[in-house]
Amino acid sequence: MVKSTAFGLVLVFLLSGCAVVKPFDREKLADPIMDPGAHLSKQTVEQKFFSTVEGSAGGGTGLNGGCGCSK
Amino acid sequence: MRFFPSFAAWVLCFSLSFAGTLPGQMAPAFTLPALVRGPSVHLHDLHGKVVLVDFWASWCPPCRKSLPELARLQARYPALVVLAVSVDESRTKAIAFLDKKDTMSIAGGKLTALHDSTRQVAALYDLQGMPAAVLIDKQGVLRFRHDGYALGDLDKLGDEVKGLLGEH
Repeated sequence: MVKSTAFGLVLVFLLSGCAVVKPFDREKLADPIMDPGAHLSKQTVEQKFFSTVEGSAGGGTGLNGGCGCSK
Repeated sequence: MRFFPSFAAWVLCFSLSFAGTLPGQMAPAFTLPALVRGPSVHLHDLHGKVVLVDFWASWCPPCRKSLPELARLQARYPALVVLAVSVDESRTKAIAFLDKKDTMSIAGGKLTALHDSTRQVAALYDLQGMPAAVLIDKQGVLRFRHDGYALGDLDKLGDEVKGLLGEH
């Protein structure tokens, strides 16, 4: 039982698709374009557009409401 | 239950794989080309000197603060050899970073700027943060390593340098 549980845990870890990116290999990740919060004005426009088209606001983050019923 | 020891060993090996080169071990040898101009630098040629290897990158905001501080440290301890190793893929970006106003002290020749474009040396030392500094004593033993940067870190590093320079 212990063996199969441990094996299952290892298997889940190996198959998770996650990889540790070393700090010195983060050149592309450090690019400002990879920061979703870097373009605030663009986000504001997109949110305005979304709320107009969908007739609802919020839902963009886990903290907000929103019906999540687009399309 | 017999499985547990092997699982624990696996966890230990996994943890150690993130530990990098630890203080007390011989510093891995390397040869790196100069970033701007000059000959390549071989670590073994610096045997008998205290060497500070600092890894930095143009995309690393704290490096903008740490590099001038390293130049000041080098000015305070002229016997110290400081190798400022860029891990940028692009040499042009790295040089442009050095040419900016707040890092001009490097361009002034106080530090030896090297280029690790393939990041093989960074991997060899298994850096856990950026910037990262390793301090190597006169016998080639890695004595101190510091990953990341915070205000006051260089004071601690300065104390270590002072201690190592006083050793025979």
